[in-house]
Amino acid sequence: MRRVAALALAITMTWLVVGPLGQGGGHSAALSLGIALLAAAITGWLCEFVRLPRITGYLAVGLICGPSVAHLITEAMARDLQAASRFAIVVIAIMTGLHLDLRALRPGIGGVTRLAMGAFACAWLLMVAAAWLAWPWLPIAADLAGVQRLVASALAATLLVSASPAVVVAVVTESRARGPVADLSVQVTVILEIATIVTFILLLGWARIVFGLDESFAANLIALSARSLLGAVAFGALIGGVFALYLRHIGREVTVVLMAVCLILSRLAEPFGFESFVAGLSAGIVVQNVLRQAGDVLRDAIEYAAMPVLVLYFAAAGAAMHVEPLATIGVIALAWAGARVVAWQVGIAAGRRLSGLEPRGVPMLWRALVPTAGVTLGLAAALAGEHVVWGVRLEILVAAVVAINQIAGPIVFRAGLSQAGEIGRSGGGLVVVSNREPWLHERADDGTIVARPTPGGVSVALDALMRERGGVWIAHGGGSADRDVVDAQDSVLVPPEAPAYRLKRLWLTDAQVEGYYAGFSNSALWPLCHQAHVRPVFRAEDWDTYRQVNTLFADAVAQEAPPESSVFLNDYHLALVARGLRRRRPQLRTALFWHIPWPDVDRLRICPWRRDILEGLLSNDLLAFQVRRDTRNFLSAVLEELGAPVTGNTVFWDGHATRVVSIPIGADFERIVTTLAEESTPERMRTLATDLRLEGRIVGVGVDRLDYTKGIPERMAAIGRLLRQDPTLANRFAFVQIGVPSREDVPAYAAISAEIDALVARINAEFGRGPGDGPIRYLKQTFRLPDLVALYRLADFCIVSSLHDGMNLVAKEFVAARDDLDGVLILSELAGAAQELPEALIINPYDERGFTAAIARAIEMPVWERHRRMRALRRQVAGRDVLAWASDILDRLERRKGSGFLSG
Amino acid sequence: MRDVPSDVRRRELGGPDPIDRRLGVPQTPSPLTWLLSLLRTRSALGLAPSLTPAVIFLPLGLLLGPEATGLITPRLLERLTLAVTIALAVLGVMVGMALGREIRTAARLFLAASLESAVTTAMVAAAAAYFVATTQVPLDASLIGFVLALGLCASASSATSAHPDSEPAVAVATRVADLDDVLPIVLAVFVVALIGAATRAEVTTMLLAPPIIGLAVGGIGWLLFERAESGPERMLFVLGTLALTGGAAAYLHVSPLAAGFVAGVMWTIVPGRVDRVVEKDLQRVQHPVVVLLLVTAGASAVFSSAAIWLLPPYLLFRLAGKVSGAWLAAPLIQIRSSDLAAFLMPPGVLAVAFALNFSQLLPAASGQMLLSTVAVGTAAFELFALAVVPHWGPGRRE
Repeated sequence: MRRVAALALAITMTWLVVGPLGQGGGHSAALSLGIALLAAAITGWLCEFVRLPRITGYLAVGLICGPSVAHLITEAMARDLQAASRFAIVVIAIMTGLHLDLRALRPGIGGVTRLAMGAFACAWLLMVAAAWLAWPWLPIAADLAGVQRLVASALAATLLVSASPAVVVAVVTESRARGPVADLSVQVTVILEIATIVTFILLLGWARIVFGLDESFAANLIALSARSLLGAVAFGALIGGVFALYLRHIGREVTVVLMAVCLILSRLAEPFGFESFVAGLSAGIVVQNVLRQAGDVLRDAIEYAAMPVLVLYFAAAGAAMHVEPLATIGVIALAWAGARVVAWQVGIAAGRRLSGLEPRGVPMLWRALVPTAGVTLGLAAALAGEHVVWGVRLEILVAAVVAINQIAGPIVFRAGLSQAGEIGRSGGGLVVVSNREPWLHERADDGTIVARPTPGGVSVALDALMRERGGVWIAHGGGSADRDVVDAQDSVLVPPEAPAYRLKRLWLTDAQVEGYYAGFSNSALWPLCHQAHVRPVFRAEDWDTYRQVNTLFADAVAQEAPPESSVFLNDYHLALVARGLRRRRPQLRTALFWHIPWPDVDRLRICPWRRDILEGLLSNDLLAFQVRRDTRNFLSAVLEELGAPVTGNTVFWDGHATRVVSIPIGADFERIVTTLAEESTPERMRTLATDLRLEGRIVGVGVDRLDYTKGIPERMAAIGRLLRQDPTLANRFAFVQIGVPSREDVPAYAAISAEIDALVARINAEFGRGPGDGPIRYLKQTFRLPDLVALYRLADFCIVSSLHDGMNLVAKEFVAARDDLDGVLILSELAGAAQELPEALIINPYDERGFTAAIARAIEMPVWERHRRMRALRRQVAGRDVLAWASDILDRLERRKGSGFLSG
Repeated sequence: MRDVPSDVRRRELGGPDPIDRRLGVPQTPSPLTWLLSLLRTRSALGLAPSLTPAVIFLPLGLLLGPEATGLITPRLLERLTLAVTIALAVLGVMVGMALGREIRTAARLFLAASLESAVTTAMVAAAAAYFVATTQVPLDASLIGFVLALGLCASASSATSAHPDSEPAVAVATRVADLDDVLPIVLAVFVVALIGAATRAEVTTMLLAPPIIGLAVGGIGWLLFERAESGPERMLFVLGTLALTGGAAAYLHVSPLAAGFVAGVMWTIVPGRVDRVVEKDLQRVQHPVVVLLLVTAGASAVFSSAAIWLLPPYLLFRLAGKVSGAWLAAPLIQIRSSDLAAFLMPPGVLAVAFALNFSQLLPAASGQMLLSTVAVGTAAFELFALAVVPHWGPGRRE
């Protein structure tokens, strides 16, 4: 609704400016650009509701607002838009070139070229024959005969068969399609573009001879060909080469220089007679193949900015569309558009035989050849300039056919991509790998088997993603009845109520669990990565087991993953999986999310197997951490330990590029808000308040696993100091500490649990009636989400005092639960969440005085300040929930590899 | 609670180009990188200050323009109007957002900044009027508009020669520099009406158009920016809205700076994080915007005898205006007037933006004269500031 309101406002304003207020208006270019971008973007978004491509919306806005219909975009504005769209074509061309890694393309390019040229020859011949036969009935020049008629027919056929790589690239980019149809379509249309131009130039030269315009046939022909095509390639290569040198040796103000490059290619190519798409393509290829690392970064940056370019390109095309000829020769144009489709279908069948390519993607290829665009009109205009009678009439016919193809082309092609299942998918489904499984099967007391979802935001988010996309989830089967429900492949369909994906269970022995999970993962990696002053324990046998279990996971993925699928590895238990996969299934895309912090270089150095871990992680295509601090630490470690080249945030190691990013995880905001809205929530709050004797008291809350990184003893000490400073507080204060038992078989965890017990008992004895009855309500148990939400709502403040933490979701969950805008969050600056939630009361858990003062401040904070802070916190937390996090990772992964058309 | 980072608070947003940041420092040693690192080292040692954009790109524009090599043709210059219009709107938005953030907490600062810019405007305009009067040319509305426009161009300042966190005086001066463009932008609306309007109805239209456009696009931005489905879509909305702001203003012959300014203020006031969203996306385009403005201004400069004749009084009276303005304003904000005057000496990009804006609206000859004078004056003051400011400040004087 907001978008529609914005569109209405923008159109009204433009109408007022162009109409009543702006008689004899000034510069129109920026105005036309602004209204075209906004109106087209919003209309394109509306088009998606009726399953049309966004591009159709962009075109429609250009057409409807343009000079042919509503005149909101005037003739002058349309001309200005055209000038801007030349810039857009060059950007699209450079983007295409940056995808062309010649080394990767070399093995298959011969077959694709044969396919394209075979299809072109066949379709062109068919169209020449059709034009020659139909010539007497065409409204062009019925009196032409003999060679003249043949040449004119050939020129008409060339114009009519021409395709548009720019439109194809735009549709692929906009629809985020991935797969053989998308790749092949771009490859073939680029080759066809060159073939069309060469053929046209040759025929134009021949026409000059035949129609008596020029005697020096050969010289002109060579000059034209050389200038138009070779010149464009050379000019683009020169500009690309200079740009690559600039990137290599200076690399500063790259956005400015990139824009200058596009400007030069768009402004200078055409006056010199060069084809700007070919020039841009050539420049992109040179940059990509001379400087692969910088090329990747540039391509991503251009793709980020591609949307305005695509919108502009199509809105301009719509505004410049000549629909008037359709009124007079619409039927003939429609017939030619149909004949063109048939010719291409036949041509592709012939090309397929010639090339010997497998049918993968080929049967859908004709759809990519339906769109035509500006270059066809440009060639037609050139012909009309030389042959003022029949050339002009042919131009009118071509304009009418182009108009039909412009409208229908994107719809037909996008439908083909959709039919091939290439839109919005990774191409082969999703594989999630985690230590914990999303669904546990347990045997109840009465002997029945019950399926339970694993609690926790991450599991819920990935489960939601798998329900939507389908695929396989591979995890260690730990439920008491897990083995009883699996099939012969150790798989079970989940969720039980509406099966959407397959859960493949991996069986680990007790010794493997001990060495891999309790041992290396939680006694070595966990304390290594958390600076909580607990010494990591590096046992060689634990490391061996960790490697062995990671290999088991890698084997399972290699066996289960469909071709071209994306693999999401969840957390530090699986650091070596990608390395195993890279050897066996190099085409798979893998991303690993490292939930815990990454240590600085000096601390990492104490790990005897750090290089193996680094190399394992660098086998992923995407490696994601919670915050930039961790990303920085990891990149420093890579430089120091491996000496691997790092460009920006991309690491190049062992012939493979890994993008290292920070993608902070969010709370399950929607689920918490839904829980809050449940009718039972108020009752649950009352029950908790009564059971925990919280009525009339200032209530604080802390929710943690019993872990030495959570700073629980520091928290208890701060509360103790506060009560000592103000003894009157003891009678009107209660702090509810939920301690979820965790990893009790690891000695450090048992020790911290005992320490907390003793501290709580001491404070309760000092300020209450005994160790078990004082201001601290200590509950060592797991809380279900509805109870947790109710507890958060009862609290006046929540303390998160981690000594070191990747993110800490309790902080975000507390904020999500406070839709009353009340409550104060006291948050450790050593938790990743502090980087996202600066409006919390930020503390240092090691600063005794500061910590105590923060609790006092939270208690005394005025209502207006609590509301102001909580409003800001909620805005942050709501804007980035756990589903957005999961989608973001996959989104980046799938853009990373194999997403590129022409990626080989 | 953490405040807005200082590099974001500044009008000219600063910080490295986003692509540069991702590419990192070139790893291949070459003569060029060696030279660049040498320059950085000299800068760190205080031997040579880093060059500001105006010093590089104004002469570059001049070199590429029709008056020199002709690589930028008059036709291309005409096409660049599109980018200039959007760039003016972008700068207006930046000033508007700076005001929106500061006005609630720093009213005295705003008052001081306005006082300083009013004094500079008045001195330069009065001096220009005097010199024009000596030529026996009658002062009609167009000429009054011209001298006022020159004064407004002179009042802009940027304080970009030093890092805002290097010492307290620079931090205050930076905030003054952010705010002293507000008054000229508001006054420019009246000057533009004076220059361009022939009838009372046109005057009304030209006075009301910038705020109405600003409010309308402010509303559009508020409706769209925070609800974008992805980064690229948000970028599209931001670019479209800015183009609409500049385009609507240019179409009506009013100031895109003023329209952008109103939108910028609105985005800091409306509920939500619209201003943060805009700020983040503007960081992607800020460098091209600055370069385009400066190169276009350089390429558009034409050195007529009138422009050369006007230059010395412009330089002299701007200097006098800044010193007097700083002297009057400094007591309001507890800063030494000499410090304030020194740090406000560089005119920055906004002076050039004002000049480009007025040159589009004034008759061709006087527009070119104004632009040429201000462009050369800006380069001269930037060089002057580069020589003076790094050696200024309490620590260095003692």
